[in-house]
Amino acid sequence: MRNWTRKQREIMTATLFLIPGFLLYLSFFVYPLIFCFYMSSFRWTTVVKGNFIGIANFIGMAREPLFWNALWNSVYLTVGTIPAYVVLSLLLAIIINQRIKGIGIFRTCYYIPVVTSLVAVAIIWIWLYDYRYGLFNTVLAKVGLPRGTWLRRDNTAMPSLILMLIWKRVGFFMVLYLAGLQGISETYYESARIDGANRWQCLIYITVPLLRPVIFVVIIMSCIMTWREFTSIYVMTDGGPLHSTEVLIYYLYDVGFNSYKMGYGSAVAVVMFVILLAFTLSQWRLRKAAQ
Amino acid sequence: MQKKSDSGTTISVVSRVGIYIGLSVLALICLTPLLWALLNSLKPLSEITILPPTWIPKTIRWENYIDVWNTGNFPRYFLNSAIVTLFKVAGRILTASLLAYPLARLRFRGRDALFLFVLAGMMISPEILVIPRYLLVAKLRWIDSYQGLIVPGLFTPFACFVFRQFFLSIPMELEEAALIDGCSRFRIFWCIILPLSKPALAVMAIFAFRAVWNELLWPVIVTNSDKMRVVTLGLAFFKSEEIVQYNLLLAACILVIIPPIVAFFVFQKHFVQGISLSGLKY
Repeated sequence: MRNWTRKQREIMTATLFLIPGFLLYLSFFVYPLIFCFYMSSFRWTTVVKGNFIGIANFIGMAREPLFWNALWNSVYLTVGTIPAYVVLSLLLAIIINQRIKGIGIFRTCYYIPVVTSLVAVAIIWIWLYDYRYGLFNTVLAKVGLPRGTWLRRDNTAMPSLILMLIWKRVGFFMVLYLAGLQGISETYYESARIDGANRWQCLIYITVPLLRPVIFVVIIMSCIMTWREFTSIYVMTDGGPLHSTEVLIYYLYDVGFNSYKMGYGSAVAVVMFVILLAFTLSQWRLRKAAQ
Repeated sequence: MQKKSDSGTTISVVSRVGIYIGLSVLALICLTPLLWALLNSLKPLSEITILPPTWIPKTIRWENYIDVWNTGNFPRYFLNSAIVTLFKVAGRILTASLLAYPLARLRFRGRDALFLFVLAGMMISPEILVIPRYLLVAKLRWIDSYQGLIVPGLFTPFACFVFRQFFLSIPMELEEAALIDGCSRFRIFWCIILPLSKPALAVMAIFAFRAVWNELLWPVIVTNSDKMRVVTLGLAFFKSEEIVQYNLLLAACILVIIPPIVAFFVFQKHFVQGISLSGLKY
């Protein structure tokens, strides 16, 4: 009997602990997600629910060139940033991991872009990219090259965005690698060196294979981060010029909150949810396969 | 002359110099945009439009910062950001640690299923939920209010996950001893578990601070009056004003960057741990 009441009391306390977080989780994660699927099958303008239209939103999406454009732009942005995040960050982490005098100062320098606020940084980079007064064009003019159009032309806007995001985030992934590097035991390198391996061989045959789980994490995290990237686009280009930097999340925002087609916007959100989910699940698969 | 480095290889002086040059170039790349912005933010308007642009301002105009503070509505934006950040950071830590405690240390039926259910939430990016969240907040009549800005972000599954992992590492004996002394679960949580979790609390606080301070999409959607804008949004609007002076705009940027930079230098260790922890999500 005493045992039973104690058990009940445990459940009572557990419930009290769980309630605030769990309610918030249900109301602002689970419910919106389900509701998003629900909305995607309705014509829904602003907050007014319209007719049930089944999968018409998805069919409309498949026929909408701007949707495919946004999808392509998200892929473009991801493919453009990933090599730097995966390779450059690793090299930086390896360099930073050496115990050289004064390395702490350099490490701090590499963190600084990560720590700054993206909205502010995006505005600063608009100024750097400025056609007349910008740093980049000043340097180009000095060495006798033609001035760049950067954010002003549809074919240079995305690369400019990519360059800025690389600058902003390489340090972030460097930190992830650094944690992985510090977990590799010195003995591997010592025995390799006894066998006559040089630095490069150590990198290719020891560091990279042992870091494989971290590399997976970096790839998947950078993918997801990039697909979620809204801030820099909102501040720097508004998706333009000519929709050339309109990635999927910006498109979702645009149809939902500028055109107020919320049913259609939810359909876009569903597609995006599925894509991001696929990223995460494939990562788990890969990691399992690697073990 | 050779010296031993960390990995045990010998590095000659030449390659040592080479490494330092490389490191310096990279550091310069990292700092140049910010330095350029800082120097330009101190120039008077007449100097910012000189061709070709110069690095060092001839006359330093500190008044730019005072002007920014007085024009626009920046004091209000900073106040809003401070309020939103304070509540969200505190809320995220409190709700997540409360939820994590029974998941880590109590035994009841369905506990592991519940944990998996919350864990699954880490796969949902909040960005894709903006439309239904907006409708929900509209129904609650929270559009353009602090509640609207704060409440939907009061809980994150990731924080809950991190706390659970940390709580699991605290020895059970401490808790059992307190239970025998007649301590309630809530007191145990508050007086034993939380104080022992200071490192995790600090890391998650800084992590949340960084995320909340820099947030843009949700404030864009949920606010519509000038007085409810947070700094990121205020800055974005300040930029899109027709007659904005770029030296003032850059001064505003520097002002917005200062709090996270200061936080970084004070809590450097926690910052770095927060980033490496975020790899756990995947």
